[in-house]
Amino acid sequence: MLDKLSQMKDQAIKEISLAENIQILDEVAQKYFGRKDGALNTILKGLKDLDPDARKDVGGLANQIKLELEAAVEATRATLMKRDVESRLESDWLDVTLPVERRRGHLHPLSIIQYELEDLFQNLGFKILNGPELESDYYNFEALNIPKHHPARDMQDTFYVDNPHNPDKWVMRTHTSNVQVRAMKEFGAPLRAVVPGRVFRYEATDASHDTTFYQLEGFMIGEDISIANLVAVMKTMLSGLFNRDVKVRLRPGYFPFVEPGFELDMQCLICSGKGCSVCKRVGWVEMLGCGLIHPNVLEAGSLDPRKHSGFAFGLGLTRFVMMRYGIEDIRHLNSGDLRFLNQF
Amino acid sequence: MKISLNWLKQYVILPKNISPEQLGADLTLRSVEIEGVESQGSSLDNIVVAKIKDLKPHPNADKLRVVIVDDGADNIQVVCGGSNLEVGMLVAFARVGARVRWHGEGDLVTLEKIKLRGEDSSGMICASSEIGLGNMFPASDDHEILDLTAHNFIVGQPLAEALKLTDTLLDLDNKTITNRPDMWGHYGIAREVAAIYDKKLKPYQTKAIKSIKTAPLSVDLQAGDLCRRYLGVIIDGVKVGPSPEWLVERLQSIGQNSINNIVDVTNYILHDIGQPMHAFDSDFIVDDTIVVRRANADEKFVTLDEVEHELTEENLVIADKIKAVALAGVMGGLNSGIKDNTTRIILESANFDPFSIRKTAESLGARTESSARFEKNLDPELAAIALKKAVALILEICPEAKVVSAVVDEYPTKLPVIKITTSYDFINRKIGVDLSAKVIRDILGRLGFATKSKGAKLIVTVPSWRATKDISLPEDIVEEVARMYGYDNIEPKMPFVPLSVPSENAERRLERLVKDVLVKTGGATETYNYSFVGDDVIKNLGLDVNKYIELENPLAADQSLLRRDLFACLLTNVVDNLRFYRQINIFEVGHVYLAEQPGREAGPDSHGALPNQPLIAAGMVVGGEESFMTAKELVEAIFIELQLKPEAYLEKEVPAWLHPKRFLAYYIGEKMVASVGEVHPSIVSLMDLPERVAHWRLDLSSIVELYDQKYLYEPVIKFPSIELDASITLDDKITWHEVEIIVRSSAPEIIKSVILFDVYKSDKIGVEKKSLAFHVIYLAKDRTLELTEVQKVHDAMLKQLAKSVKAEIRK
Repeated sequence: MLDKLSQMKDQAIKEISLAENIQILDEVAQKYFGRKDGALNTILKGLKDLDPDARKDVGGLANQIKLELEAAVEATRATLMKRDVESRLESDWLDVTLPVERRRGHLHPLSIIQYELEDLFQNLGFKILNGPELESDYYNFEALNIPKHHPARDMQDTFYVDNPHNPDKWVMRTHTSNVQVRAMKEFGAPLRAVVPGRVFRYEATDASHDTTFYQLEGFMIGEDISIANLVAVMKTMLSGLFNRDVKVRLRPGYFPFVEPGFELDMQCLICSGKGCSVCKRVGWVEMLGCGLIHPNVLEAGSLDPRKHSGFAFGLGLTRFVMMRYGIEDIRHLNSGDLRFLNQF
Repeated sequence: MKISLNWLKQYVILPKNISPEQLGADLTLRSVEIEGVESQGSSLDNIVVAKIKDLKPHPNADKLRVVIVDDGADNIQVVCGGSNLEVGMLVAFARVGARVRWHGEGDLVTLEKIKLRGEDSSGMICASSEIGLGNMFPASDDHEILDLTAHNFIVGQPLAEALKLTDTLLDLDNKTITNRPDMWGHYGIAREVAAIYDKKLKPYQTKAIKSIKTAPLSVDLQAGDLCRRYLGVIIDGVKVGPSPEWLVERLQSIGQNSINNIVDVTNYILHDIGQPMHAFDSDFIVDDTIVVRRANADEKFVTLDEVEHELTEENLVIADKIKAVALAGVMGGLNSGIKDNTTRIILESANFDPFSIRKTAESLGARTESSARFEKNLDPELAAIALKKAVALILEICPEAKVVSAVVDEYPTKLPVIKITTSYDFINRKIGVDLSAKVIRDILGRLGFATKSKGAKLIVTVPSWRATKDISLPEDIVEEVARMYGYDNIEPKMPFVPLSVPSENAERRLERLVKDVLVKTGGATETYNYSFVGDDVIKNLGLDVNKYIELENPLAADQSLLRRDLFACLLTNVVDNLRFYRQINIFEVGHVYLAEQPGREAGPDSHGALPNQPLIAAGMVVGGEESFMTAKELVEAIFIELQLKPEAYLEKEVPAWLHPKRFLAYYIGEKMVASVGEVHPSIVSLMDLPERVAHWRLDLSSIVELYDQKYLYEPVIKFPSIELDASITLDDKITWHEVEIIVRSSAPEIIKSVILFDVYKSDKIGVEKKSLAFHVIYLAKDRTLELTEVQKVHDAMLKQLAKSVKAEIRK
């Protein structure tokens, strides 16, 4: 009986070691450990026919063999599993450098910067307003204290529009300031608003001039709005835009719709005011035109200049975009050229 | 405008230690923009007067000579190709280290010691154009060097010093003095400089005009509305000739050529105090009578520059009894100008209506130094000062000359003296500072304003040179005080305003949302195009040019009309990009201009509204057979984002430029808000495009009115759903849309969704037939559906399909 057991053990170890895969190993295990007709169980079932001593010997050995065989099965199983994973790893090789489809389009750089500015001003409590691109002479010029034949009209070469309906003069708006008086009439005071948008100038095109470009007009109207307020708000706005504290200065500037009027310069961020090629060695970069809103303009907007005052400013959005990205030719912006647009 | 520092110094003593650069910077911060500061002699560093001591032929070159020059310090050998070299000649000698322009062309180069064809050469004998003096000393040919022998210059003297090129020029940006008629001459600038540094401005010296009154000058001011003042006087015995050296120098320093003594005097006055004047040869003025009148319709007139103009009644002319002799305030006539033999002149100093001058100069294309000043609205008082000064100068230059007429001064309407009542408090509040009354009055006084305190009030009298419109309001006074106090001295202060959340701009929000979906989900790239299109393009697309709004003054023929759609521009983008890309997915969001629809109001007293200018989003997709469906995906992705469910319809009215059999329109109510289509095959072949180019379009201005962000939630249904499939064969022309409507309407309360998963076409199922397979998912909100119940509904639906669209049910 003991011999039979030993023989069986040797046979089982041999079969276990020869198992080529997990499935065969499972079959082998079943053959020996099967509850109903497993070889080992069959032997153990025969124990009851033996005398107590023999029963003890055989039983002891049989249990020992069972443990050994189980260990052998598990060891082989581990080896086989390891081998399986390894072969899978080998066959799973993938060229991970293959390109994937990139389904991300691109916003135009003018949109990107415009939205940045819109968010910034909205955070400061400014409304975002729209206005017509094809505008009446009244809102583009006269309401802004620029009567017909005023020399200030020289500063803004204008596209005039043929009006088929009536004698009113129409123009392609030369600035986003056309919305000032419209907004005053619609919202009254106090008022804080910015107007980003497309403007037009009758101007020969070159690398830095185009007939079509973008501005952002802003204004703030309340009681006792001062030059000191204007400087503080502009400084805050530019600091937000450039994400650092900036220095600004005002110079006299002439725009008929403000009094007094200023050019606002920002200290050059490249050279910190020492003078470099970007700021043309002056240490300051011209950023925007601004001023206290002219009383005639407030009156055109149905506000009382004795009660209300305000400031207005106009930022060249296109110029700012070109500065930000280092775009050398304004004409790229309206070219529709994907080689340019896909970079943003 | 160029401002000479030496000229300025005639009128104001600058503080010590103020460099010209500092002066420029201070003017820029307090008054007008100085764009550059340039010292006249700076390009002549290391260039000296030298004498030729010896001349020898060059051993290796026929056209060159070996020259020994004495530069005051040394005898130096140079090789020179000059044709007019002579021993003893005084020349402009550029030492090693000087910067010159070879043959007057190209960039400046720094001279080094070199060997020229084997001979040492240390420096250069210069031609005038090589050192920037070509205008002052014109050369007769390219090889002529500058001969200075005639001048009594000292050998070794720096050339800049010898030529008295010691001035410094400030380059003033004219735009910044558009509103400052007083700043168009040196005296006006000097006044500002004096105010900035609190220095004394020297009075402008003039003398009363003494006349022997032997001849009457008569001035007939017919157009008094266009001429506010006219002064004239006759001077006899003038001798036209070269101007004295000081006068030539002054004019040359600011880039003006000297013409003759009389014209130079009027030019000098123009740049000195900014008053344009004119001198007529009185021999050409009939009866010494000046008539100031409007031109006759169709009157022809030839100006000094020999251009003939056709005038209208809008134009003001200076005439005699018979003919026009000058275009008032713009340019003199060819017929009456100063000639070499002129001996008797009528000198004019006048003040004209700025708008009239501007209109005339603009319409005749004759902008001049004179018109540029008059159109800024000059002070009429200036005319009299200028005349006195000019007469004094002419008498000084031509001592034999005599004033023979009385000074005629037609001055019908004097401008009123402007007094502005304001308050110290108003000024301080507008600036945001707290300046004392003394500081404020002191600043105004420096600028020539008279001030008077009356309690808290301040009464300011505006000087005549600022009173022609520049200064009329308390706000104007604020500017004067603020700029002279110094903008950089104002402490920034945040305004006190009520905290408020800005109301939302729905159109802008929608625009951004749409762009976001297009770029991030749709993979489309945004383009910007011009608002202008050309009529060629419109005609090519088979559209009616007459519907388009036209520009009165287009810059180019292909930019003459205002776009009514984004299609044409986007199509051009496609064509341009096809050279580099096979797949294209682009869009634009922009306004279009529709003449027939009224838009926003055009202002008080207007005769009607502006054209409507709706905001449109549109795009093009080039992507083979999938183009149309890709475009449709973009449009529907936007609707999903907006939580809008428009109805999609096949539209009979398809735009002419789109494929009539490939077009889908989206409606919300009665309004078509979007469409997807394909470019018409005729355009495809005309423009040589790929076969399938899809075009989509969203009317954002309409959608914005319908869009309302919803915050909806429905509880998740906890009952199980049943999914049944159907497969039908039917006529190919029956749309999925029709089938889906029949399916859904069969049991709207329990059909949760209908999902098409296969479209199959084959000869086996028949010609012009297709087979559709779809899942129908049934779900009730309130109970578990029984299969038998659902099967009944499903079968009924299939029967309905068989009946309505002759569908054959496949098992």
